[in-house]
Amino acid sequence: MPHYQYTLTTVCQWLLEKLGLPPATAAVFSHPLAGVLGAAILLFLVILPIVTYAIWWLRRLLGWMQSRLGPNRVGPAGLLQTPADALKLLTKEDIIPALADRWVFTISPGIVFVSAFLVYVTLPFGPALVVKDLNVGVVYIAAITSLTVIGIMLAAWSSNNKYALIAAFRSAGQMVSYEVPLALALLGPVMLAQSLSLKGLVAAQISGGWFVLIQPIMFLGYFCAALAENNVTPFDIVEAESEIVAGFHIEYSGMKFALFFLAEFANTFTVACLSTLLFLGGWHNPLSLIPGVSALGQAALDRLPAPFLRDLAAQLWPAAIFFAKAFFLVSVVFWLRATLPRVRIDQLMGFGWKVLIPLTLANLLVTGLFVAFGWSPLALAGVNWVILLACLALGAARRRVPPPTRTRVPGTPALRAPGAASTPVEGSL
Amino acid sequence: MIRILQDIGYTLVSIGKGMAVTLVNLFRRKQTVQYPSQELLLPPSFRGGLHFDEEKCIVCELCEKACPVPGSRTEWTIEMFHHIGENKKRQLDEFFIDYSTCINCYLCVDVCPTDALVPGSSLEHAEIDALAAYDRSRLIYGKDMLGRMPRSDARGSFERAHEHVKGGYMPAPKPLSEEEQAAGERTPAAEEARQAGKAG
Repeated sequence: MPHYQYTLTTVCQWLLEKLGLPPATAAVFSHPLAGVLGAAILLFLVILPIVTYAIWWLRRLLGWMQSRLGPNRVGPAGLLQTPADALKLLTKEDIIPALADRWVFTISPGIVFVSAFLVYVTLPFGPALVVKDLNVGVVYIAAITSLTVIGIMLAAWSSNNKYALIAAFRSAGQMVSYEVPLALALLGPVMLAQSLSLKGLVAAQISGGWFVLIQPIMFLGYFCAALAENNVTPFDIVEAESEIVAGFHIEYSGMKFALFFLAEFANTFTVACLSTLLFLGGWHNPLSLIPGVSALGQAALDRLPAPFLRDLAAQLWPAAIFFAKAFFLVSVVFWLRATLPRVRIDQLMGFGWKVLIPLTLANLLVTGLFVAFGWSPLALAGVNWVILLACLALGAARRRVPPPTRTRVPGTPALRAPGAASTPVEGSL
Repeated sequence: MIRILQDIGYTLVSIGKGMAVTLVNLFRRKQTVQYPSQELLLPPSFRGGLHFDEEKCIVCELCEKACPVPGSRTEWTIEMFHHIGENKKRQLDEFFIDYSTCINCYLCVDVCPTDALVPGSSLEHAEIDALAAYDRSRLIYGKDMLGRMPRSDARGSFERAHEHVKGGYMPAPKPLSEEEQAAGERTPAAEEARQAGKAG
C-alpha cells in the first residue's frame, strides 16, 4: 500500500473487497458508503475504549496528585473499574420523570453523544488513519462541537426540572460565548497553513514548524476556550459537582447518564486531539529533526520481514506519535483539574469576553498582517514569544497582592485604630 | 494595557506554581494504607480493644464502678464476678466486657490501679476470632478472650508508626547527633546545628 494516499475509508473498502463476498452482497459492500460506514464503526471501536480508559486515567491521576491511590481494586491496577461502572449503569433502572417530555428526554443524550463522536470522522490520527479528510475540516469541527449546546438545552428543558434548566442556561451562556474565541483561535493556524483541512494543517506544520512555536499565545487561548467550551474544570460551572448536584443532567440515570458522561470525556479527548493537530504538529516526530534519526527509523522499518508489516508499521508509527501527544494533553487537562478551583460565573464571562476574545482578535490581526504581507513566520514567532515572555516576566515581578482589609460593619467596634490607612486591593480582572 | 498583560502573566505564573505543587505530589509517596492487605503500623499509644491481664487484677471492681454505659445483658458494660477465696482474698471468677455497648471511653483503664486493663492494639478483634457477630450476646467477651487481645505496646513503636508519613507531608524526625546523644538532651549548639541542617 503506498503511503499517504489511502484513508481509513479506502482501507476498509479494500478489506471488504478482499473478503470474497457473494456477488449479490458484493454490490452493496462495494458501495462507497460501505467503506465510510465500516471505517466509522472501526473508529468507534477504537475511540470508545480510549474514552472509557480516559475516565480510569483521570481517577488514577487525580488520586495520585491528592496523595491517594485511586481505583485499584477491580482488575489489575483497577483497569476493570470503568467497565464495571458502565455495566452497573447499564443494569440500572431507566427512570423518566413523570412530567418530562419523553421523546426529547430520550433523544437528547444521543444528540450530545453523537455530536461528541461525529468530530472524529475528520480527525486524522495518521496520514492514512482518517475516515474522511474534509477540505473544510476545521469549520466542520467548529460546527459539530457547538451541537452539544443544543443537546444540553434539550436535556434540561425536557426533564422538567427548574434547576436543570438554570444549569443549562448557564451552560448555553458559557458555551456560546466561548465559541467566539474558540473559532478565532482556530483561525490562527488556518491562516498560517492556508488550509482548512486537518491533514493540510499537519503537512504545513511538518514543513514549516509547529504552530505552538509560532503562535504560543493562540495555543493558550485555544486551550482555555476549548476547556470552557467542553465544560472542563476550572470552567465546569455547568455541572459543578461540589455545588449543584449534576447541573443539566440531574434527572438522568442509568445509561442515559453514562452517555452524557462518556460524551464529556470524548470532548476532552477531542480537545487534546485538535490541539495536537493544530498546534503540536500532529503526527510529526520531533526526534526526526535530529540528523540520523529518520535514517535509523527507516532502517528499522526495512528490517521488518513482510512488506505488509512494513506498510502497517509505516501507518501506525505516526499514529503512535499522535496519540502520545494527545494523551499528554489529556493528562494536562486532568492535571489542571486536580490543581485549579472552579471560577465564578462572572469571572468566567469576564475571562471570555474581556480577555480571550480581544487576545485572539489581536493575535488574528497580527497573523493576518504577517500572512498578507508575506513576512516570515519566524518574525511572527518572535513577536509572539516576546509578548508572552514579557507578560510572564511582568507577572512574576508583580509583588504579592495584600490581603483585603476587613470592612467595618456599622455598629460594630473598629477593627483597627481609626485613621489607619487601609491598603487597597491591587488588580482584579 | 500593561496592567492587563501583567494580570495575564500573573495568572499564568500562579497557575504554573499551582501545577508545580500538584506535580510534586504526583511523585510523592501516597498516604493510603491498603488496610486488609497492608499492615497498619500502630503507635504504642493506640487505643484499640481492651487487653485484660488476669494475673494483675486485684478484683477491686473500680472499672465496673467507672463504667458509664449499661450493658445489653448485664448491669454495666463491664461486669465481674468473684468469690472470697483463701486468706479472705477476692478471687476473680469471670470478667466480661460487652462490646455491643462499650464506647471505648477508657475510664476503666484510667481507674485501674494495677494496669490489669490496658488499651490494646486490636482494630477489628480478629485476634480473638470475633470480627463480626450475628447476635449482640456474641460480643460479650470473657477474661480469656480479652487476655488474648494484643497489648498496644506489644505492637509497633512511634518510629514504625511514622513509616506511614515518611516521604509524605510530614518531615521525618531527625535522628540525634552523637553529641546530643552523649549529652542526653538537646544543647543549644546542637539545636543550632540541627536548624542549619534543616535549612540546608
